[in-house]
Amino acid sequence: MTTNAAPLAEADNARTRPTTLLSLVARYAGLLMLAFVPLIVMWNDPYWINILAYAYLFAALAGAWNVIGGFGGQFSLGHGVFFAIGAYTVARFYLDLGVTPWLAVFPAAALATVAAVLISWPTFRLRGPFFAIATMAINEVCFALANYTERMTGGPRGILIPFRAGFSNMIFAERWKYALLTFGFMCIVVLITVLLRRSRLGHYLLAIREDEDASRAAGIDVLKVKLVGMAVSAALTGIGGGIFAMYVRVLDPPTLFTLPDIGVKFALISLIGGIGTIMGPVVGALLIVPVENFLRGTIGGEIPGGHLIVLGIVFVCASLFLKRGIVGAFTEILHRIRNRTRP
Amino acid sequence: MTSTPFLVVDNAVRRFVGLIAVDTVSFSMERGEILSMIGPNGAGKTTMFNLITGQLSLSDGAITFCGERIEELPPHIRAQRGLGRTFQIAKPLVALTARENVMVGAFLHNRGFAEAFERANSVLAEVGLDMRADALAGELTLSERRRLEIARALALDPKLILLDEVMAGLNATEVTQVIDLIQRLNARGLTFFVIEHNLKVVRAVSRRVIVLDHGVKIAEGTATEVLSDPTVIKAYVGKRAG
Repeated sequence: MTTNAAPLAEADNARTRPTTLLSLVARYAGLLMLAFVPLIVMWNDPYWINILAYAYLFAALAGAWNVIGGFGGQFSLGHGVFFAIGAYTVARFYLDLGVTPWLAVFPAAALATVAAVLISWPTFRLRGPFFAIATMAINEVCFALANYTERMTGGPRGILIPFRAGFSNMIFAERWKYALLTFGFMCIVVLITVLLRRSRLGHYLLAIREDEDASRAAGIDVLKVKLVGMAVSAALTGIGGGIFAMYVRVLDPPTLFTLPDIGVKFALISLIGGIGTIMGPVVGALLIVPVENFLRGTIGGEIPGGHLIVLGIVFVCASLFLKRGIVGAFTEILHRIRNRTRP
Repeated sequence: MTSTPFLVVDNAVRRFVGLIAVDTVSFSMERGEILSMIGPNGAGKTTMFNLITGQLSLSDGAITFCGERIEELPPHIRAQRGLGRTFQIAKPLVALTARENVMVGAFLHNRGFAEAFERANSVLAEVGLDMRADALAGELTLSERRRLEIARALALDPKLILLDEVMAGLNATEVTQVIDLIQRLNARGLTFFVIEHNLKVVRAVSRRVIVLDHGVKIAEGTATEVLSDPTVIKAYVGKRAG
Protein backbone atom coordinates (compact mmCIF):
# COMPACT_ATOMS: atom_id res chain seq x y z
CA MET A 1 0.00 0.00 0.00
CA THR A 2 1.12 3.56 -0.50
CA THR A 3 2.47 5.43 2.47
CA ASN A 4 0.31 8.49 2.14
CA ALA A 5 -3.03 6.77 2.58
CA ALA A 6 -5.60 9.30 3.72
CA PRO A 7 -7.48 7.45 6.54
CA LEU A 8 -4.49 7.65 8.86
CA ALA A 9 -4.45 11.42 8.78
CA GLU A 10 -6.80 11.87 11.72
CA ALA A 11 -4.90 9.53 14.01
CA ASP A 12 -1.60 11.23 13.32
CA ASN A 13 -2.77 14.77 13.75
CA ALA A 14 -1.66 14.92 17.35
CA ARG A 15 1.91 14.12 16.42
CA THR A 16 2.36 17.05 14.07
CA ARG A 17 2.57 19.35 17.05
CA PRO A 18 5.94 19.46 18.81
CA THR A 19 6.31 18.30 22.40
CA THR A 20 6.58 21.47 24.44
CA LEU A 21 9.83 22.12 26.21
CA LEU A 22 8.05 22.21 29.54
CA SER A 23 6.56 18.74 29.20
CA LEU A 24 9.90 17.44 27.98
CA VAL A 25 11.73 18.89 30.97
CA ALA A 26 9.00 17.49 33.25
CA ARG A 27 9.51 14.03 31.76
CA TYR A 28 13.23 14.07 32.45
CA ALA A 29 12.73 15.62 35.88
CA GLY A 30 10.57 12.59 36.68
CA LEU A 31 13.33 10.22 35.58
CA LEU A 32 15.88 12.17 37.62
CA MET A 33 13.63 11.88 40.67
CA LEU A 34 13.91 8.10 40.28
CA ALA A 35 17.68 8.46 40.33
CA PHE A 36 17.28 10.51 43.52
CA VAL A 37 15.55 7.68 45.40
CA PRO A 38 18.75 5.79 46.34
CA LEU A 39 20.11 9.00 47.88
CA ILE A 40 17.08 9.25 50.16
CA VAL A 41 17.28 5.59 51.09
CA MET A 42 21.01 5.41 51.76
CA TRP A 43 21.85 8.92 52.92
CA ASN A 44 23.22 7.65 56.24
CA ASP A 45 25.21 4.73 54.87
CA PRO A 46 28.75 6.10 54.28
CA TYR A 47 29.87 3.20 52.09
CA TRP A 48 26.98 3.36 49.64
CA ILE A 49 26.59 7.12 49.71
CA ASN A 50 30.21 7.39 48.61
CA ILE A 51 29.56 5.12 45.65
CA LEU A 52 26.42 7.05 44.85
CA ALA A 53 28.23 10.39 44.86
CA TYR A 54 30.73 8.92 42.39
CA ALA A 55 27.95 7.49 40.26
CA TYR A 56 26.17 10.86 39.98
CA LEU A 57 29.42 12.65 39.21
CA PHE A 58 30.38 10.14 36.53
CA ALA A 59 26.86 10.27 35.13
CA ALA A 60 27.35 14.01 34.68
CA LEU A 61 30.83 13.57 33.22
CA ALA A 62 29.68 10.85 30.82
CA GLY A 63 26.78 13.15 29.91
CA ALA A 64 29.29 15.88 29.13
CA TRP A 65 31.32 13.47 27.01
CA ASN A 66 28.12 12.36 25.29
CA VAL A 67 27.62 15.87 23.84
CA ILE A 68 30.52 15.46 21.43
CA GLY A 69 31.10 11.69 21.69
CA GLY A 70 27.47 10.62 21.40
CA PHE A 71 25.61 13.40 19.61
CA GLY A 72 28.57 14.59 17.56
CA GLY A 73 29.94 11.08 16.99
CA GLN A 74 33.51 12.19 17.77
CA PHE A 75 34.80 9.37 19.93
CA SER A 76 37.18 11.32 22.14
CA LEU A 77 39.30 9.38 24.61
CA GLY A 78 41.10 12.54 25.70
CA HIS A 79 38.48 14.04 27.97
CA GLY A 80 40.76 13.25 30.91
CA VAL A 81 42.70 16.36 29.86
CA PHE A 82 39.68 18.65 30.35
CA PHE A 83 38.84 16.83 33.55
CA ALA A 84 42.36 17.36 34.92
CA ILE A 85 42.47 21.01 33.81
CA GLY A 86 39.23 21.57 35.70
CA ALA A 87 40.54 19.83 38.80
CA TYR A 88 43.90 21.65 38.84
CA THR A 89 42.30 25.02 38.09
CA VAL A 90 39.82 24.79 40.96
CA ALA A 91 42.54 23.56 43.32
CA ARG A 92 44.95 26.36 42.36
CA PHE A 93 42.30 29.09 42.54
CA TYR A 94 41.15 27.79 45.89
CA LEU A 95 44.59 27.26 47.46
CA ASP A 96 46.56 30.16 45.96
CA LEU A 97 43.93 32.86 45.51
CA GLY A 98 41.35 31.83 48.07
CA VAL A 99 38.60 31.74 45.48
CA THR A 100 35.63 29.62 46.49
CA PRO A 101 35.29 26.48 44.34
CA TRP A 102 31.72 27.53 43.53
CA LEU A 103 33.20 30.38 41.47
CA ALA A 104 36.46 28.67 40.52
CA VAL A 105 34.54 26.18 38.36
CA PHE A 106 33.99 29.00 35.85
CA PRO A 107 37.65 29.65 35.03
CA ALA A 108 38.02 25.84 35.12
CA ALA A 109 35.34 25.54 32.43
CA ALA A 110 36.91 28.37 30.44
CA LEU A 111 40.40 26.87 30.49
CA ALA A 112 39.05 23.44 29.59
CA THR A 113 37.27 25.04 26.62
CA VAL A 114 40.46 26.74 25.43
CA ALA A 115 42.31 23.43 25.68
CA ALA A 116 39.49 21.68 23.84
CA VAL A 117 39.66 24.06 20.89
CA LEU A 118 43.47 23.84 20.74
CA ILE A 119 43.37 20.03 20.81
CA SER A 120 40.42 19.62 18.50
CA TRP A 121 41.40 21.96 15.72
CA PRO A 122 44.10 19.63 14.38
CA THR A 123 42.56 16.32 15.49
CA PHE A 124 39.11 16.91 13.94
CA ARG A 125 40.75 16.33 10.58
CA LEU A 126 40.98 12.69 11.61
CA ARG A 127 37.99 10.42 11.44
CA GLY A 128 36.70 7.49 13.46
CA PRO A 129 39.34 5.38 15.21
CA PHE A 130 42.13 7.75 14.18
CA PHE A 131 40.51 10.59 16.08
CA ALA A 132 40.06 8.33 19.12
CA ILE A 133 43.72 7.25 19.02
CA ALA A 134 44.96 10.84 18.60
CA THR A 135 42.95 12.10 21.56
CA MET A 136 44.15 9.15 23.63
CA ALA A 137 47.74 10.05 22.76
CA ILE A 138 47.15 13.67 23.79
CA ASN A 139 45.83 12.41 27.14
CA GLU A 140 49.06 10.47 27.68
CA VAL A 141 51.20 13.47 26.69
CA CYS A 142 49.36 15.64 29.20
CA PHE A 143 49.79 12.89 31.81
CA ALA A 144 53.55 13.09 31.35
CA LEU A 145 53.52 16.90 31.32
CA ALA A 146 51.57 16.98 34.59
CA ASN A 147 54.38 15.00 36.21
CA TYR A 148 56.93 17.63 35.17
CA THR A 149 55.08 20.91 35.70
CA GLU A 150 55.56 20.68 39.43
CA ARG A 151 54.70 24.31 40.20
CA MET A 152 51.27 23.89 38.69
CA THR A 153 50.34 20.33 39.48
CA GLY A 154 52.61 19.41 42.37
CA GLY A 155 54.25 16.86 40.09
CA PRO A 156 54.00 13.17 40.98
CA ARG A 157 53.35 14.01 44.62
CA GLY A 158 50.25 15.92 43.61
CA ILE A 159 48.22 18.59 45.36
CA LEU A 160 46.69 18.08 48.76
CA ILE A 161 43.68 20.19 49.64
CA PRO A 162 43.40 20.42 53.42
CA PHE A 163 40.14 19.39 55.02
CA ARG A 164 38.35 22.55 56.11
CA ALA A 165 34.67 21.79 56.11
CA GLY A 166 32.35 24.60 55.10
CA PHE A 167 29.85 25.39 52.40
CA SER A 168 31.94 28.11 50.78
CA ASN A 169 34.91 25.70 50.61
CA MET A 170 32.75 23.01 48.96
CA ILE A 171 34.12 20.63 51.58
CA PHE A 172 31.66 18.72 53.71
CA ALA A 173 31.96 16.48 56.74
CA GLU A 174 28.78 14.61 55.78
CA ARG A 175 29.11 12.43 52.70
CA TRP A 176 25.48 12.84 51.66
CA LYS A 177 26.11 16.50 50.97
CA TYR A 178 28.63 15.51 48.31
CA ALA A 179 26.07 13.15 46.83
CA LEU A 180 23.57 16.00 46.76
CA LEU A 181 26.14 18.23 45.06
CA THR A 182 27.01 15.70 42.36
CA PHE A 183 23.31 14.91 41.90
CA GLY A 184 22.66 18.61 41.28
CA PHE A 185 25.49 18.76 38.76
CA MET A 186 24.11 15.69 37.02
CA CYS A 187 20.68 17.39 36.78
CA ILE A 188 22.28 20.47 35.22
CA VAL A 189 24.07 18.32 32.64
CA VAL A 190 20.85 16.45 31.82
CA LEU A 191 18.95 19.73 31.45
CA ILE A 192 21.64 21.10 29.12
CA THR A 193 21.47 17.89 27.08
CA VAL A 194 17.68 18.14 26.80
CA LEU A 195 17.96 21.72 25.55
CA LEU A 196 20.80 20.77 23.23
CA ARG A 197 18.89 17.84 21.73
CA ARG A 198 16.16 20.22 20.61
CA SER A 199 18.44 23.01 19.48
CA ARG A 200 19.95 23.77 16.13
CA LEU A 201 23.41 22.81 17.49
CA GLY A 202 22.05 19.45 18.66
CA HIS A 203 20.50 18.67 15.28
CA TYR A 204 23.68 19.73 13.51
CA LEU A 205 25.84 17.53 15.74
CA LEU A 206 23.61 14.53 15.05
CA ALA A 207 23.65 15.26 11.32
CA ILE A 208 27.45 15.39 11.34
CA ARG A 209 27.62 12.09 13.20
CA GLU A 210 25.37 10.49 10.59
CA ASP A 211 26.92 11.93 7.42
CA GLU A 212 29.38 14.78 7.00
CA ASP A 213 28.81 15.24 3.27
CA ALA A 214 25.06 15.41 3.68
CA SER A 215 25.60 17.90 6.52
CA ARG A 216 27.72 20.18 4.34
CA ALA A 217 25.09 20.00 1.63
CA ALA A 218 22.57 21.14 4.25
CA GLY A 219 24.61 24.28 4.87
CA ILE A 220 26.38 23.08 8.02
CA ASP A 221 29.88 24.34 8.79
CA VAL A 222 31.09 20.93 9.97
CA LEU A 223 34.36 21.98 11.64
CA LYS A 224 32.76 24.91 13.46
CA VAL A 225 29.86 22.82 14.79
CA LYS A 226 32.25 20.10 15.97
CA LEU A 227 34.38 22.72 17.75
CA VAL A 228 31.36 24.27 19.49
CA GLY A 229 30.14 20.81 20.52
CA MET A 230 33.59 19.96 21.85
CA ALA A 231 33.72 23.29 23.72
CA VAL A 232 30.39 22.63 25.47
CA SER A 233 31.51 19.11 26.31
CA ALA A 234 34.90 20.23 27.64
CA ALA A 235 33.45 23.08 29.70
CA LEU A 236 31.10 20.70 31.52
CA THR A 237 33.92 18.16 31.94
CA GLY A 238 36.10 20.90 33.45
CA ILE A 239 33.40 21.77 35.98
CA GLY A 240 33.09 18.07 36.83
CA GLY A 241 36.84 17.90 37.33
CA GLY A 242 36.62 20.84 39.74
CA ILE A 243 33.92 19.15 41.80
CA PHE A 244 35.96 15.95 41.78
CA ALA A 245 38.97 17.90 43.11
CA MET A 246 37.05 19.18 46.12
CA TYR A 247 35.63 15.72 46.72
CA VAL A 248 38.83 13.64 46.72
CA ARG A 249 41.13 16.51 47.81
CA VAL A 250 44.19 14.59 46.64
CA LEU A 251 45.14 15.33 43.06
CA ASP A 252 48.00 13.47 41.50
CA PRO A 253 48.44 12.72 37.79
CA PRO A 254 47.42 9.03 37.95
CA THR A 255 44.14 9.96 39.64
CA LEU A 256 43.27 12.45 36.89
CA PHE A 257 44.78 10.93 33.75
CA THR A 258 44.59 7.12 34.08
CA LEU A 259 42.67 6.16 30.96
CA PRO A 260 40.56 3.23 32.25
CA ASP A 261 39.51 5.29 35.28
CA ILE A 262 38.79 8.61 33.59
CA GLY A 263 39.01 9.30 29.84
CA VAL A 264 37.89 5.89 28.63
CA LYS A 265 35.37 5.46 31.41
CA PHE A 266 33.29 8.43 30.26
CA ALA A 267 32.95 6.74 26.89
CA LEU A 268 32.26 3.30 28.34
CA ILE A 269 29.52 4.55 30.66
CA SER A 270 27.82 6.24 27.70
CA LEU A 271 28.27 3.11 25.62
CA ILE A 272 26.61 0.87 28.20
CA GLY A 273 23.81 3.30 29.02
CA GLY A 274 23.12 4.38 25.46
CA ILE A 275 25.43 6.52 23.38
CA GLY A 276 23.79 9.64 21.97
CA THR A 277 20.75 9.36 24.24
CA ILE A 278 19.89 11.83 26.99
CA MET A 279 19.49 9.40 29.89
CA GLY A 280 22.09 6.87 28.68
CA PRO A 281 24.99 8.29 30.70
CA VAL A 282 22.84 8.43 33.86
CA VAL A 283 21.67 4.83 33.48
CA GLY A 284 25.18 3.68 32.57
CA ALA A 285 26.84 5.36 35.52
CA LEU A 286 24.26 4.21 38.08
CA LEU A 287 24.87 0.67 36.87
CA ILE A 288 28.61 0.59 36.17
CA VAL A 289 29.96 2.52 39.15
CA PRO A 290 28.32 0.30 41.84
CA VAL A 291 29.00 -2.90 39.87
CA GLU A 292 32.64 -1.94 39.47
CA ASN A 293 32.90 -1.26 43.21
CA PHE A 294 31.22 -4.54 44.02
CA LEU A 295 33.50 -6.50 41.69
CA ARG A 296 36.58 -4.75 43.04
CA GLY A 297 35.56 -5.81 46.54
CA THR A 298 34.72 -9.43 45.72
CA ILE A 299 36.70 -10.75 42.73
CA GLY A 300 39.37 -8.06 42.99
CA GLY A 301 39.93 -9.16 46.58
CA GLU A 302 40.57 -12.77 45.55
CA ILE A 303 42.52 -12.22 42.33
CA PRO A 304 44.20 -8.81 41.99
CA GLY A 305 42.80 -7.11 38.87
CA GLY A 306 40.18 -9.81 38.46
CA HIS A 307 37.37 -7.25 38.51
CA LEU A 308 38.87 -5.59 35.45
CA ILE A 309 38.64 -8.86 33.53
CA VAL A 310 34.95 -9.26 34.38
CA LEU A 311 34.31 -5.60 33.58
CA GLY A 312 36.13 -5.98 30.28
CA ILE A 313 33.92 -8.94 29.35
CA VAL A 314 30.82 -6.91 30.25
CA PHE A 315 31.97 -4.09 27.96
CA VAL A 316 32.76 -6.42 25.08
CA CYS A 317 29.34 -8.06 25.38
CA ALA A 318 27.63 -4.68 25.58
CA SER A 319 29.36 -3.39 22.47
CA LEU A 320 28.48 -6.60 20.62
CA PHE A 321 24.86 -7.03 21.65
CA LEU A 322 23.71 -3.66 22.98
CA LYS A 323 24.92 -1.35 20.24
CA ARG A 324 22.76 1.52 21.38
CA GLY A 325 23.02 0.74 25.05
CA ILE A 326 20.35 0.06 27.61
CA VAL A 327 18.38 3.20 26.81
CA GLY A 328 18.71 2.54 23.08
CA ALA A 329 17.36 -1.01 23.45
CA PHE A 330 14.53 0.25 25.63
CA THR A 331 13.43 2.97 23.19
CA GLU A 332 13.62 0.50 20.33
CA ILE A 333 11.17 -1.79 22.12
CA LEU A 334 8.87 1.20 22.74
CA HIS A 335 9.16 2.20 19.09
CA ARG A 336 8.25 -1.34 17.95
CA ILE A 337 5.20 -1.46 20.22
CA ARG A 338 4.03 1.94 19.02
CA ASN A 339 4.46 0.95 15.39
CA ARG A 340 2.64 -2.36 15.85
CA THR A 341 -0.57 -0.48 16.56
CA ARG A 342 -0.32 0.97 13.04
CA PRO A 343 -1.20 -1.05 9.92
CA MET B 1 18.73 33.60 -23.50
CA THR B 2 19.92 37.17 -22.86
CA SER B 3 18.32 37.49 -19.40
CA THR B 4 20.59 37.77 -16.34
CA PRO B 5 22.59 34.57 -16.00
CA PHE B 6 21.45 32.34 -13.14
CA LEU B 7 24.13 29.68 -13.19
CA VAL B 8 27.11 29.88 -15.52
CA VAL B 9 29.64 27.09 -15.74
CA ASP B 10 32.61 28.40 -17.68
CA ASN B 11 35.20 25.97 -19.03
CA ALA B 12 35.01 23.73 -16.00
CA VAL B 13 37.83 21.20 -15.73
CA ARG B 14 38.33 18.53 -13.11
CA ARG B 15 41.37 16.31 -13.28
CA PHE B 16 41.90 13.21 -11.21
CA VAL B 17 45.18 11.30 -11.32
CA GLY B 18 45.39 9.90 -14.83
CA LEU B 19 41.88 10.98 -15.77
CA ILE B 20 40.05 14.10 -16.81
CA ALA B 21 36.58 13.59 -15.38
CA VAL B 22 35.20 16.90 -16.61
CA ASP B 23 36.92 18.44 -19.62
CA THR B 24 36.32 22.15 -20.31
CA VAL B 25 32.55 22.03 -20.00
CA SER B 26 30.57 25.25 -20.36
CA PHE B 27 26.86 25.82 -20.08
CA SER B 28 24.44 28.15 -18.40
CA MET B 29 21.04 27.95 -16.78
CA GLU B 30 18.17 30.37 -16.54
CA ARG B 31 16.14 30.97 -13.43
CA GLY B 32 13.00 28.84 -13.37
CA GLU B 33 14.03 26.20 -15.89
CA ILE B 34 14.53 22.48 -15.54
CA LEU B 35 17.78 21.43 -17.15
CA SER B 36 18.62 17.76 -17.53
CA MET B 37 22.05 16.24 -17.89
CA ILE B 38 22.36 12.82 -19.45
CA GLY B 39 25.24 10.64 -20.51
CA PRO B 40 26.60 7.11 -20.18
CA ASN B 41 27.92 5.84 -16.86
CA GLY B 42 31.23 7.46 -15.99
CA ALA B 43 30.58 10.45 -18.24
CA GLY B 44 31.30 12.87 -15.39
CA LYS B 45 27.75 13.88 -14.50
CA THR B 46 28.04 13.42 -10.75
CA THR B 47 31.50 15.00 -10.82
CA MET B 48 29.89 18.02 -12.53
CA PHE B 49 27.32 18.18 -9.71
CA ASN B 50 30.03 17.93 -7.08
CA LEU B 51 31.90 20.79 -8.73
CA ILE B 52 28.82 23.00 -8.64
CA THR B 53 27.91 22.23 -5.02
CA GLY B 54 31.52 22.24 -3.82
CA GLN B 55 32.00 18.62 -2.76
CA LEU B 56 34.85 18.69 -5.27
CA SER B 57 36.94 21.70 -6.31
CA LEU B 58 37.58 22.76 -9.87
CA SER B 59 40.97 22.14 -11.45
CA ASP B 60 40.30 25.01 -13.84
CA GLY B 61 37.46 27.24 -14.96
CA ALA B 62 34.80 29.24 -13.15
CA ILE B 63 31.28 28.86 -11.80
CA THR B 64 29.03 31.88 -11.32
CA PHE B 65 25.78 31.58 -9.40
CA CYS B 66 23.42 34.57 -9.31
CA GLY B 67 26.23 36.87 -10.29
CA GLU B 68 28.67 35.59 -7.68
CA ARG B 69 31.77 33.52 -8.33
CA ILE B 70 31.33 30.43 -6.15
CA GLU B 71 34.03 27.99 -7.25
CA GLU B 72 36.26 28.86 -4.27
CA LEU B 73 33.49 28.68 -1.64
CA PRO B 74 33.20 25.64 0.65
CA PRO B 75 30.11 23.45 0.15
CA HIS B 76 28.20 24.68 3.22
CA ILE B 77 28.50 28.30 2.08
CA ARG B 78 27.22 27.33 -1.37
CA ALA B 79 24.26 25.64 0.32
CA GLN B 80 23.65 28.87 2.24
CA ARG B 81 23.76 30.79 -1.05
CA GLY B 82 20.86 28.70 -2.33
CA LEU B 83 22.25 25.48 -3.79
CA GLY B 84 20.38 22.39 -2.60
CA ARG B 85 21.24 18.89 -3.73
CA THR B 86 20.50 15.21 -3.38
CA PHE B 87 23.09 12.47 -3.57
CA GLN B 88 23.16 9.63 -6.08
CA ILE B 89 23.39 7.21 -3.19
CA ALA B 90 20.80 8.70 -0.84
CA LYS B 91 22.31 9.87 2.43
CA PRO B 92 19.48 9.69 4.93
CA LEU B 93 20.55 10.45 8.51
CA VAL B 94 19.37 6.99 9.51
CA ALA B 95 19.26 7.36 13.30
CA LEU B 96 17.06 10.47 13.03
CA THR B 97 13.37 10.56 12.25
CA ALA B 98 12.22 11.75 8.84
CA ARG B 99 11.13 15.03 10.40
CA GLU B 100 14.48 15.55 12.11
CA ASN B 101 16.22 14.93 8.79
CA VAL B 102 14.25 17.75 7.25
CA MET B 103 14.70 19.96 10.32
CA VAL B 104 18.46 19.73 9.81
CA GLY B 105 17.85 21.57 6.54
CA ALA B 106 15.17 23.85 7.97
CA PHE B 107 17.46 25.12 10.74
CA LEU B 108 19.43 27.01 8.09
CA HIS B 109 16.81 29.75 7.96
CA ASN B 110 14.85 28.99 11.16
CA ARG B 111 16.78 29.36 14.40
CA GLY B 112 14.11 28.14 16.80
CA PHE B 113 12.93 24.58 17.34
CA ALA B 114 9.24 25.33 16.80
CA GLU B 115 9.85 27.20 13.52
CA ALA B 116 12.11 24.47 12.16
CA PHE B 117 9.57 21.87 13.25
CA GLU B 118 6.74 23.65 11.43
CA ARG B 119 8.83 24.21 8.34
CA ALA B 120 9.82 20.53 8.29
CA ASN B 121 6.18 19.48 8.61
CA SER B 122 5.10 21.54 5.64
CA VAL B 123 8.00 20.30 3.50
CA LEU B 124 7.22 16.70 4.45
CA ALA B 125 3.61 17.26 3.43
CA GLU B 126 4.83 18.69 0.14
CA VAL B 127 6.78 15.54 -0.74
CA GLY B 128 4.06 13.23 0.62
CA LEU B 129 5.98 12.01 3.65
CA ASP B 130 3.86 13.63 6.37
CA MET B 131 2.54 10.23 7.46
CA ARG B 132 6.10 9.03 7.96
CA ALA B 133 7.39 12.06 9.87
CA ASP B 134 8.11 10.10 13.05
CA ALA B 135 9.60 7.05 11.36
CA LEU B 136 13.35 6.67 11.53
CA ALA B 137 14.97 7.48 8.21
CA GLY B 138 16.61 4.07 8.30
CA GLU B 139 13.17 2.44 8.18
CA LEU B 140 12.02 4.25 5.05
CA THR B 141 11.63 2.54 1.70
CA LEU B 142 13.87 3.50 -1.21
CA SER B 143 11.22 5.76 -2.69
CA GLU B 144 10.63 7.43 0.65
CA ARG B 145 14.36 7.94 1.14
CA ARG B 146 14.59 9.64 -2.23
CA ARG B 147 11.76 11.98 -1.36
CA LEU B 148 13.35 12.60 2.03
CA GLU B 149 16.53 13.71 0.26
CA ILE B 150 14.50 16.14 -1.80
CA ALA B 151 12.71 17.34 1.33
CA ARG B 152 15.96 18.03 3.19
CA ALA B 153 17.21 20.04 0.24
CA LEU B 154 13.87 21.87 -0.09
CA ALA B 155 13.96 22.86 3.58
CA LEU B 156 17.00 25.01 2.78
CA ASP B 157 14.74 27.25 0.69
CA PRO B 158 17.18 26.90 -2.20
CA LYS B 159 17.15 28.79 -5.48
CA LEU B 160 18.45 25.78 -7.39
CA ILE B 161 18.12 22.09 -6.61
CA LEU B 162 20.42 19.51 -8.13
CA LEU B 163 18.82 16.06 -8.30
CA ASP B 164 21.23 13.19 -8.85
CA GLU B 165 19.27 10.24 -10.28
CA VAL B 166 16.38 10.50 -7.86
CA MET B 167 14.32 8.14 -10.01
CA ALA B 168 16.79 5.25 -9.98
CA GLY B 169 15.19 2.11 -8.60
CA LEU B 170 11.68 3.56 -8.37
CA ASN B 171 8.67 1.88 -9.94
CA ALA B 172 6.44 3.59 -12.51
CA THR B 173 3.95 4.94 -9.97
CA GLU B 174 6.70 6.34 -7.79
CA VAL B 175 8.40 7.92 -10.81
CA THR B 176 5.14 9.67 -11.70
CA GLN B 177 4.86 10.96 -8.14
CA VAL B 178 8.34 12.45 -8.24
CA ILE B 179 7.77 13.98 -11.69
CA ASP B 180 4.61 15.60 -10.33
CA LEU B 181 6.55 16.92 -7.37
CA ILE B 182 9.28 18.42 -9.55
CA GLN B 183 6.75 20.05 -11.86
CA ARG B 184 4.72 21.42 -8.96
CA LEU B 185 7.80 22.97 -7.34
CA ASN B 186 9.02 24.28 -10.68
CA ALA B 187 5.68 25.95 -11.27
CA ARG B 188 6.35 27.88 -8.08
CA GLY B 189 9.63 29.16 -9.46
CA LEU B 190 12.20 26.65 -8.23
CA THR B 191 14.98 25.87 -10.71
CA PHE B 192 16.10 22.27 -11.21
CA PHE B 193 19.23 20.68 -12.57
CA VAL B 194 18.62 16.97 -12.99
CA ILE B 195 20.83 13.99 -13.72
CA GLU B 196 18.59 11.29 -15.14
CA HIS B 197 18.96 8.03 -16.96
CA ASN B 198 15.28 7.52 -17.60
CA LEU B 199 14.73 9.27 -20.94
CA LYS B 200 10.96 9.33 -20.47
CA VAL B 201 11.50 11.43 -17.37
CA VAL B 202 13.93 13.66 -19.25
CA ARG B 203 11.33 14.28 -21.97
CA ALA B 204 8.61 14.86 -19.40
CA VAL B 205 10.32 17.41 -17.20
CA SER B 206 12.96 19.30 -19.13
CA ARG B 207 12.91 21.76 -21.96
CA ARG B 208 16.65 21.67 -22.30
CA VAL B 209 19.14 18.82 -22.07
CA ILE B 210 22.91 18.66 -22.07
CA VAL B 211 24.82 15.48 -22.83
CA LEU B 212 28.18 14.52 -21.36
CA ASP B 213 30.41 11.75 -22.63
CA HIS B 214 33.90 11.06 -21.27
CA GLY B 215 33.78 14.39 -19.46
CA VAL B 216 33.05 16.38 -22.63
CA LYS B 217 29.79 18.12 -23.45
CA ILE B 218 28.79 16.53 -26.75
CA ALA B 219 25.32 18.00 -27.25
CA GLU B 220 22.91 20.60 -25.96
CA GLY B 221 19.35 21.37 -26.98
CA THR B 222 15.75 20.36 -26.50
CA ALA B 223 15.07 16.79 -25.41
CA THR B 224 13.87 15.80 -28.90
CA GLU B 225 16.82 17.41 -30.67
CA VAL B 226 19.38 15.87 -28.39
CA LEU B 227 17.88 12.40 -28.37
CA SER B 228 17.92 12.22 -32.16
CA ASP B 229 21.48 13.59 -32.41
CA PRO B 230 23.73 10.92 -34.01
CA THR B 231 26.65 11.76 -31.69
CA VAL B 232 24.44 11.17 -28.66
CA ILE B 233 23.09 7.91 -30.05
CA LYS B 234 26.64 6.80 -30.75
CA ALA B 235 27.74 7.61 -27.20
CA TYR B 236 24.87 5.63 -25.76
CA VAL B 237 24.61 2.56 -27.98
CA GLY B 238 27.93 2.56 -29.77
CA LYS B 239 28.49 2.55 -33.53
CA ARG B 240 25.71 1.33 -35.77
CA ALA B 241 26.72 -1.98 -37.29
CA GLY B 242 27.58 -1.90 -40.99
